[in-house]
Amino acid sequence: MLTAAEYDDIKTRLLRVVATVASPRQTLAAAIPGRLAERLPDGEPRILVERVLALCTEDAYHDDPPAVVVLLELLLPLQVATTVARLRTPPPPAPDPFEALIMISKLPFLDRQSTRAALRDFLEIRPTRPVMVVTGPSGFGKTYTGDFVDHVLSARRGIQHCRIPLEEGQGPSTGAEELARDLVTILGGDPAQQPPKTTNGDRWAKDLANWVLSVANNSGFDWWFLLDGFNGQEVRRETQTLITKLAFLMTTGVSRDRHRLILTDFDRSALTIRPGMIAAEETRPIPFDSVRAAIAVVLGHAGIAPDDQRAVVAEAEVLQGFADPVTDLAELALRLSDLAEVTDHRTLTGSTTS
Amino acid sequence: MTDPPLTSESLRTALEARFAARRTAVPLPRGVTPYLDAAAVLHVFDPVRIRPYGDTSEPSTVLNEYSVPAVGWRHAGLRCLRTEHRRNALRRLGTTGRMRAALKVNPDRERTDMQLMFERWLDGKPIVLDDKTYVELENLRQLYEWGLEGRPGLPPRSLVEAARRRRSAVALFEHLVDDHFTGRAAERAAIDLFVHAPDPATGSMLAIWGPGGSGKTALIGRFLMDHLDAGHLPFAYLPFDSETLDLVEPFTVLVSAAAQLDTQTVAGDDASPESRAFNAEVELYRDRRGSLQRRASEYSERVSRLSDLSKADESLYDAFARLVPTGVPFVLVFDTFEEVVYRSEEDFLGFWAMLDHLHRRLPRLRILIAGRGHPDLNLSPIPVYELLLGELPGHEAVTLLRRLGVTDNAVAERITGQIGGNPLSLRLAARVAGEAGPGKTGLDGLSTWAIGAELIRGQLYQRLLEHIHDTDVRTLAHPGMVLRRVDAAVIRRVLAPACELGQISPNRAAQLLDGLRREQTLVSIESDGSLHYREEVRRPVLDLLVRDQPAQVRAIHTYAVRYYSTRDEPADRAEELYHRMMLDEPAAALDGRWTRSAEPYLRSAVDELPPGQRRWLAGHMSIRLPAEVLRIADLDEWERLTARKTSEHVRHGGPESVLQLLGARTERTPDSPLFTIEARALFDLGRHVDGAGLLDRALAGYPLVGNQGRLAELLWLRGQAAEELGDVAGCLEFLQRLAEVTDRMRTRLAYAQTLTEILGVRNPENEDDPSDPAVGPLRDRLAGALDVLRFADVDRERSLIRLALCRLGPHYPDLLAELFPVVVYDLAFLASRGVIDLRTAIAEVIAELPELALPDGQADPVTVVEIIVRQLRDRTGADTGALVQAVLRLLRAEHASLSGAALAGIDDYREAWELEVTREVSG
Repeated sequence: MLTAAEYDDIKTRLLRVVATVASPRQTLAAAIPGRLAERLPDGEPRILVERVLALCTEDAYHDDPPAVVVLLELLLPLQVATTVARLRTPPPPAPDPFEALIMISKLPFLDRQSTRAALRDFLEIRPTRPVMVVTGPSGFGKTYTGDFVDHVLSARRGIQHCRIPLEEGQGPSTGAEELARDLVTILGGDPAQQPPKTTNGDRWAKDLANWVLSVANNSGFDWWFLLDGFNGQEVRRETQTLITKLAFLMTTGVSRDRHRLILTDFDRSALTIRPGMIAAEETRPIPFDSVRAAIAVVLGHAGIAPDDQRAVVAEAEVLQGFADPVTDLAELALRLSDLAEVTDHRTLTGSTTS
Repeated sequence: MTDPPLTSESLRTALEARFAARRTAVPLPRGVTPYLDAAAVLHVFDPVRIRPYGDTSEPSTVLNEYSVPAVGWRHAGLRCLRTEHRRNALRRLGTTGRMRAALKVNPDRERTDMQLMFERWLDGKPIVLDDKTYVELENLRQLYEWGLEGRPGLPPRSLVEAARRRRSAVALFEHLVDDHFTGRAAERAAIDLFVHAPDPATGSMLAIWGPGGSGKTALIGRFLMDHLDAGHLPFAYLPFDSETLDLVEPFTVLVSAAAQLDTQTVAGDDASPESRAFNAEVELYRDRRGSLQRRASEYSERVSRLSDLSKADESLYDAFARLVPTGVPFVLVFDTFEEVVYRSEEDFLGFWAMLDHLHRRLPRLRILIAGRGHPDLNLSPIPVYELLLGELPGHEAVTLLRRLGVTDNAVAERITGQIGGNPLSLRLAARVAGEAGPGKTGLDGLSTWAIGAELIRGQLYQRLLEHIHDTDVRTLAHPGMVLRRVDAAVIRRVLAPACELGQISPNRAAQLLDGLRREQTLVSIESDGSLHYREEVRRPVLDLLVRDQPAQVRAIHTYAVRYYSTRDEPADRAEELYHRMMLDEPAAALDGRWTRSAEPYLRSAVDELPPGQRRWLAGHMSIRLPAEVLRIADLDEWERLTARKTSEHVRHGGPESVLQLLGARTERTPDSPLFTIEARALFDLGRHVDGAGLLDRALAGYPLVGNQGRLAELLWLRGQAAEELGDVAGCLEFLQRLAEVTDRMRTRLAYAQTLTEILGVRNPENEDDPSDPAVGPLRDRLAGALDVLRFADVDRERSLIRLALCRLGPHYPDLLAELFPVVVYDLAFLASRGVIDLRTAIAEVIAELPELALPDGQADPVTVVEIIVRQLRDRTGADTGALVQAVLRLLRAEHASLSGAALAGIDDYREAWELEVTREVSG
């Protein structure tokens, strides 16, 4: 439901809130439905906040308004209004999450049929291609792949998403141990148990990769790892070696059965896994036809038929200023999101809001 | 309260307002600047506790929008400023004085290595590049990304880059070369002479070998470090204990070598044009191999596919050769060769072919191969020199001991007299002497008479293990090292009873495991959380245990077998097999326990195994066996051993070498796997008559209860032979028999392929409505078979399904709509990469369906396919016909057939080795 950036922002804000109260657990529990509050464990604030967000995300649109909206309105009033407005009502239903044009985050994910098929293949026990590499020009939606993974996994129990983005310009100070530590943290392991560097760089990278996967294997979940922006020119050699080792281990043994790896903005020529085992995906501009299809889905959810004058207006407004195919995918996503929000609160007959 | 209904006008107004708001540039809120300035001088910060540099009424959460979680600090909830905002803030702060003032505001900051580097510069401390480690140089590079280039005190970026690249080149092995390196002057001179010899005819490969611990890697490392600083000897260091180097996939060697070469030869931040070209070539290589893996393809015979595979390999090797600087020697170092030396000769064919190709392209190429034990390099096409690394002479051994802290010369001489001049033994002895103190006669109690260096080393390790405080952890280490891997369950169920440790609770076992994990020189962590003893320690200790405590060793093996035989995971099965083999159990006990997934875990055990067990293992995985052993093996075993060898011969040796291998014996078991291998080799030579005759004999004698998958394959190949010989009736007869066999199989893939081929024979022009009345019912049967295929099978055999859809024609639009999206994208991808040509078909499709065309005339295959997929999904009855024809036109443009292909869907019937054969070879 939340994008990665929203999740990080909200987590920080919630931590600030619970830092000032006597009982963080009680404060958080009071802001969510009782059936979710029962499952909130004891623990330090960071764990509590992560857990409450996980519970709300898992609960998705079970309630109206959804649990996450209630939580945010109670504990972060007016601070994340845009997010609250977007998530207040559910997205258009899609029988098959892999075919959805509007994700559970209410953001669009258009075309990318090849990516959808490759991710669907990830659900097989021994997929032919357990590693995916997504490339494309900047701004063409590579990072969005992570949001789509969140979307398809939102309906799956037992599979979790482990996502690490690398901000542009941060590569030199991000080494293999930093990457491994963050992976282990998300997997629920103890980052202090990191193997020391007592051997050559290649074997140490292998030790780190083994450590990460051992934590994953013991976590009780299967994992889809997504490493976003670990571009070869930016990152340290040792970090690239770690990623290469992880990719290799994903294609063997228990890990091949359980875990998957998605790399965005990564040079697949650096990987040494056998040919035929990588799903190489390239993001592309979106043709107007595809945008029209998404507009139709959004309007259909609001009860507006394709031959309605409002549909004509919506299409004209959303496509205005774009060339066909659309290359400014960030702006396109925002426009479609705006369309969803504007049409969410109003219908043909009028809806009661309070 | 009711919202007013949404009208066209209100919708337009609402949308325009939202869009316009984004177009308006929003200035930075004033209240955020003090936080930005504070965060700009912090590598990472706590978003809850950070204090602003300056006054503001905003809460610190205002920084969230301008920062991201810091990689490596998620567990502590720390964040770091986005690069763009940090640059702006540092520019705004301006002087180092203001930056220091901003730092003072957050005294509790996290002092990461990066933070310390920044503050060192801020404090005006000199930055000397030569004494910086690789990580420090990377952190220094980060300062330039922060926009501090050109500031006083920072070296020019180009110098930092050069230093970083230089250190990166040796980062793989610099830890093995330390200040204590002693002697080996003659050996260093020999390597120098070999590398710089101008005449390639004198030999381009040098094998450096010697017992474990003789310092091979240190010697090579020293040589490379010496030349690295001089800057004129490009090299690549490739240890074979790196599992990402795959002996049977030589491209993995080149990918690793190219990455190292790039750091040595390029001055700046970006990859060189040659490096970029090589990386592009690697991508193309992977795509070409992907294309060659298609079962149904434009190749009408396997030999053409193999020829293109060979060309793809050579094209990549040539691209690598272009990467290498000319005019200077280029050194490829292959270390830890003992990790692969047990592999069969066939596994080396591709590796030698690659080196041979490079050797002919690069006259100044010099290859160093280092490993324990004398390597058998007879099959190397490149002339080989050898350099045996023996013990250090007495005076150098003494010098080494003195450098390692044994300062008393007399004691050093006595120790040297006791243990000899093996460098690793000397290092261990120095540690023992340092921890326990040497006696007047050297190391007290050390028994060294008439034993080898390994056993001496074993004793030395044993001494070091005695310093482990917890006695139970000490037992885990010794005699626990009989085991290869340890986890909590193994402690409780194997070591506890075998070593009489009594009942150990789960908590105590976890504690012991933790204690062992801390002995970092002894163990490494595996991906399943278990600990593995490091082989360089385990082997010598094990040798000692086997000599001194054989009953204890047997007991541990026995308990291990009992424990692991109740478990099914591949790693556990591998351990069970290992311990059974170490107990010398007969083949009958081992056969039923073999599983292919255990193979990767057993590779490292091969040279521990008794010879008879090694022979058994060779029948299940690729291991070198003496020719004599092969000669006396019984027929069944010989067939299995030989069959394994043929796949690499098919790829690298050609059909004649396959036939030569198979010709060592003429008799065959009734359901021998060699019939199909031999038949295909004959087909590769164009000897279809001979191949057909061989298959007829095989089919005539095939046992009723024989492997049905193998029978199916015989019938498939016989049908192909008949078709090639123009015997259409015969072909159909064999395919009909095949359909009966495959119809009984659990998966429908083989049956689908059979029907696809029958349709191809009956309707060779692929007419939509042919006159042959048998075609219609056949199509129905094929559609039925495709309809029940599992997604995994469809995805795995995309090319076959595409061909099947072609042969079904336009009569099954729903099935087409369902399967087309699943099977089309790799075709479109290969077309977009230029590996397959669909341009004509796409142009024709666009001409027939103008709505598929993009306004600017773009005809990107993937985009066109995506539009078709969407239209198929949203189709109405009226527009289906044209759309289906467009799809078929696209699919038929692949010009695929199953000629020369193997039969799909019989993996359940295959042996383990057959499943490992790469798809390009197996077809």
